[in-house]
Amino acid sequence: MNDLTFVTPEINWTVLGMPAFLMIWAMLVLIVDMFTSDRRVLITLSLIGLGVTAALGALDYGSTVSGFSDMLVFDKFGVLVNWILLAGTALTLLIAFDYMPRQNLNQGEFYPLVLFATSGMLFLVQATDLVTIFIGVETLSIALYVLTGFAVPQFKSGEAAIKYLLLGGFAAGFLVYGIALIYGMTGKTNLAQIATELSTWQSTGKALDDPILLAGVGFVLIALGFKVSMFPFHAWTPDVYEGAPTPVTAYMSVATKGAAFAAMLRFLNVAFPALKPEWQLLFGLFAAATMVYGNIVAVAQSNLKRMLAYSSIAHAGYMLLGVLAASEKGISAFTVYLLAYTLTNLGAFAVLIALENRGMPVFELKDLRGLGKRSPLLALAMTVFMFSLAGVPPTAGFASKFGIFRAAWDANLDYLAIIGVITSVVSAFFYLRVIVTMWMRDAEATEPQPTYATASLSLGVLVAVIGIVAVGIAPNIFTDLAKALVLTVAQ
Amino acid sequence: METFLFITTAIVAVGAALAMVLSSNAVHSALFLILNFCSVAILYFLLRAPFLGAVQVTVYAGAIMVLFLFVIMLLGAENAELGEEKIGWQKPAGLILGVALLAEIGYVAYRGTKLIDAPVADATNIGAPTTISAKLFSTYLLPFEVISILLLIAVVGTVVLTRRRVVAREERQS
Repeated sequence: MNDLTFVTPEINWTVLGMPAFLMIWAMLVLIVDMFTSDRRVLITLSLIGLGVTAALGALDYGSTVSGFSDMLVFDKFGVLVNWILLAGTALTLLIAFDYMPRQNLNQGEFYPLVLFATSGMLFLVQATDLVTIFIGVETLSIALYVLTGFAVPQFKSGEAAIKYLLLGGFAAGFLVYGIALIYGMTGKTNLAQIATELSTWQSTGKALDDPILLAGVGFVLIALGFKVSMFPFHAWTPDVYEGAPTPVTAYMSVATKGAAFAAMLRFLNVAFPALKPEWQLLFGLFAAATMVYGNIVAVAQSNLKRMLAYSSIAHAGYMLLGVLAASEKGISAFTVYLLAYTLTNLGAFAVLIALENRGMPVFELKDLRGLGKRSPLLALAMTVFMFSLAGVPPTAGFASKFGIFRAAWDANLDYLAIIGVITSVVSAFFYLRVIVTMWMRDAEATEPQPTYATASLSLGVLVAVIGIVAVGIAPNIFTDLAKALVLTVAQ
Repeated sequence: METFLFITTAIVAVGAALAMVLSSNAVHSALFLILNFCSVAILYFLLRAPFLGAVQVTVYAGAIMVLFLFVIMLLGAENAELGEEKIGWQKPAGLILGVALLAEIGYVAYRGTKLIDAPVADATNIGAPTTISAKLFSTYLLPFEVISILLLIAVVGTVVLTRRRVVAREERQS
């Protein structure tokens, strides 16, 4: 035991700043929640926390620092994705603010739990080690299981939470198993060190297509694919999205996907560039299946929440193209797409929230009839969101889809780009159907349903609309910001 | 001697695992699982990881399995009937995938893939609590600390979910 050396770890606050501050702030909000039940105090505090976290990223923006035995990195890509996640979280809180008490879900713990989930996501986005990736995934998942079951005496919410918990636990098992196999073959958990190890294999002539290594990579990708609801692992998505409280669904559909995709990007591009032909082929097929399946099944949905769930599966397929392109262009296209998708999907769910009555969980397409007359502004906002989801030109959806397809085309994934364009055309059908129903169909002669476009929700919708139009009209600003995002290979 | 011990424990471990899956009484299953955990703990000792072995016994075979048994007995689920199979193709599909997995394991064995060499040089040291704790509080300090956040979220979540139910019940009564 004499050779025992204890190295005092160096705490690098630049690297840890964003997730750590949000974790501590979430604990603070949790404590404040004990003394006051005024939700205005809680949401103000939460929004301040999100703002300060974003500012912490701006402090050292542009520099690349790696810390904690290279388990966590601070780089441009990480900060950009973190900003998008923080913006998405802020919008979620705004649209949830009046919804939760209306649905009798007014528990202060909602705010710290959302902040905890977000802090786990920030941690995951910055993770460059299989150990930190695992912990990031679990931190966000546990918080989301609870948030899914937040309406728990309601049967659907409980069902959704149990389904998500069981399948999520299964996916976590795959993640650990994959990590163990990769460690067994390479002796490393650090992404960059795995890449170095594999390049020594290449130079010594050791075969890279070892079944154990391939199985390990596959298992990790199954777990991350589960989180982004990629095609063969998507089965939980519609049920969970339908059963969870609507703001939680909105949050899950954008933030979880963003964080898990960022981890997938780092995992594939930093650790396994040597196996690129293998994963590009396999996940190309999965991406194609995801796009086709999500869009075609969405056509058949009459429940709006389920339709948006399938549409989110389809959009996961599009984002996967950016990941698979494995190029600078692909990474920046992915980032822009994530921003556009976050604003659009949160906005669409916000409109649903404005229409959702207490004790009326089922949300059918026909409920939208005559919305254009009842509340034209809300219908107008929904029109913008649907156009953006479909990818119609003046919106962010078009600019970001264009970038993704071009990146895929340039990366010689032309068949994926073509499938993407074709499925986008299919998707236009069910997005435009929503618009037609709102403006051209008259409501049945029943008593008019009230809408709940409260101040905070309107603010959220307004921010989303402005963002979508801004990204749509001047996409260059954002693509320039997201340009030259080279994933850091820290040694 | 080591090989003999390994073969015996391995047989016991696999047998216990099979018996756990196959027995129809939930309490028997839980007890077989304990047997399986204990034999795996012996395997850890054989691999010179005494700390892991001890943790395996205290945490898994001890704490967690006691909870398991509590829940089974509280719910009275000892002899729960297996529900009707709702998805007909589930069993054949499982069988095919199981065979595929077995074939893959066979292929790996046939190829003779070598895992990384176990660090045997300081074999007495590697699994010792001091070594593990030194690693945990230096190299792996960050994950170690973040796990405490994870546990905090789990605690808060449990309180939230159970308190809602109580609140709802009180509302019904009033």
